[in-house]
Amino acid sequence: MSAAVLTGYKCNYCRQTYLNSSDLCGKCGSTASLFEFELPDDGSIVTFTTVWRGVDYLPQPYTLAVIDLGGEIQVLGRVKRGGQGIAINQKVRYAGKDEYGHIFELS
Amino acid sequence: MRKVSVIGAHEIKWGVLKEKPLLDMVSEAANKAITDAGIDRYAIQAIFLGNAFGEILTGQATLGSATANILGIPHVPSIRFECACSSGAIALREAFLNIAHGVYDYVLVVGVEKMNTKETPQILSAIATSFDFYDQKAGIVAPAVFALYASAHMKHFGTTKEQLAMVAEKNYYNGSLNPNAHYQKQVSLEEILNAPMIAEPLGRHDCSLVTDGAAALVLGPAETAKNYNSQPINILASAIAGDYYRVANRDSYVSFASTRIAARQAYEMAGVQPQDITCAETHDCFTITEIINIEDLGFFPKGEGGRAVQDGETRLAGRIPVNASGGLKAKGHAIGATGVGQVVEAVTQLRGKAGERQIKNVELFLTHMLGGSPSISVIHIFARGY
Repeated sequence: MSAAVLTGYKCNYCRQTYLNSSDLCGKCGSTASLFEFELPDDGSIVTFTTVWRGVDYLPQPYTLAVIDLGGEIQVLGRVKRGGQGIAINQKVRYAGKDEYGHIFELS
Repeated sequence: MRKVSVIGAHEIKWGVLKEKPLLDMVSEAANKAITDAGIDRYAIQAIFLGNAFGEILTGQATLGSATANILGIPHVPSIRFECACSSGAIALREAFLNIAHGVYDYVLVVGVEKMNTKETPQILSAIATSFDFYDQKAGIVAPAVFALYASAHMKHFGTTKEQLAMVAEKNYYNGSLNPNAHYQKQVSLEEILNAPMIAEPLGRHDCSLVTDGAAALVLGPAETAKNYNSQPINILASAIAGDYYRVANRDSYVSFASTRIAARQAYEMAGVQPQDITCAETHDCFTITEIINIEDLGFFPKGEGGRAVQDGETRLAGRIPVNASGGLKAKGHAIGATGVGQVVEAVTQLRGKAGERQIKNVELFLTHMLGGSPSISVIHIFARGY
């Protein structure tokens, strides 16, 4: 697992934000305008589900959530629950990513 | 724009059809729709076909050409449309637009999907290709997408698991009255509520079926429709709208923006209001989907879909019957065929030929499909043309 810093990309012209890098901004078409920036570590759960019959490469069940990161961007990620309950609006912290995607843990 | 009618409609019996080749399914649906239309097949000027997973699940792409050939009209332009679950509805819309604008007079619309060709994990993987690449990697599967909506709807509006189960119970009941349905047995609320969990809060009975099916329509100009069929059905509106593709980019998880926008367009085009609609087939890939859709279509205020289901307002004898066919839950979800199958139900109901599940006094029938993540909605409104 990599260091727990979540990087986003923002267009210098139209301010559109992205989670993945690109050669150009899909929204305004400008090139060489996307710059990296560090997204907030802390966020809150917008909605979530625990998946019992999901993809075969993840141990099941796994919890997926849409996380709001300080109003900057929403991210789909897995949430490490450690046996704890989970609820909408609950606070989470970015824990890093693996080959499948972003991972958060309950604050 | 010219007015457009459905002059022929047919669907095969849906189910697990492992022994029936894909093109036999197409041939049966299309030939019987042509017979229902009373039209010479050589009068058909184009074929528009909806199919989502031909390559992945059957190894057969280019289904447009395959269909024209098997119907004995190989030189007719024949095109396949792919928009996941809304593939068939898109094919219908494109046929409607081409006839309305005078490009063609008579178009055959086909929807087909053969799902039960592989083991369940492979089928789920095929369905997951409807979602964004990164969302797929993150572990998104279809039940998970709609479970995200269910969790939010339950939190914000107090929608209950019992209300979700009532959607399934209703649609199973309706399916038990439909001889073409994949699943024709009633299921009790208790059994639905006690089913194994798939993606919380959705259990196995909250999920639609994995179905093989085919359906077909013949469309033509309304002014000549009665030359072919004494009971043509007019298309009053055809509307489509999109939404953000990546699941995390949505503004709301209690509403489908594409449904709201397409509904507004459809009502304006037809010159009607939501309360004018007699009954509807709406996308119920999961029970929560039907609840959100009946709100976004304007049948009930936002947040009251669960209560409306609980109060029986969407049952066959209710204020606005929803998914009289059994819906995706019981008639089945043959992905690319489902949107065309909905229209076969609309035609059957408007003609008064739905047997035990016939809805009384049907005037305006709405069909609605979601597609993708869901990132697209397609809506049509129908009325009798005779």
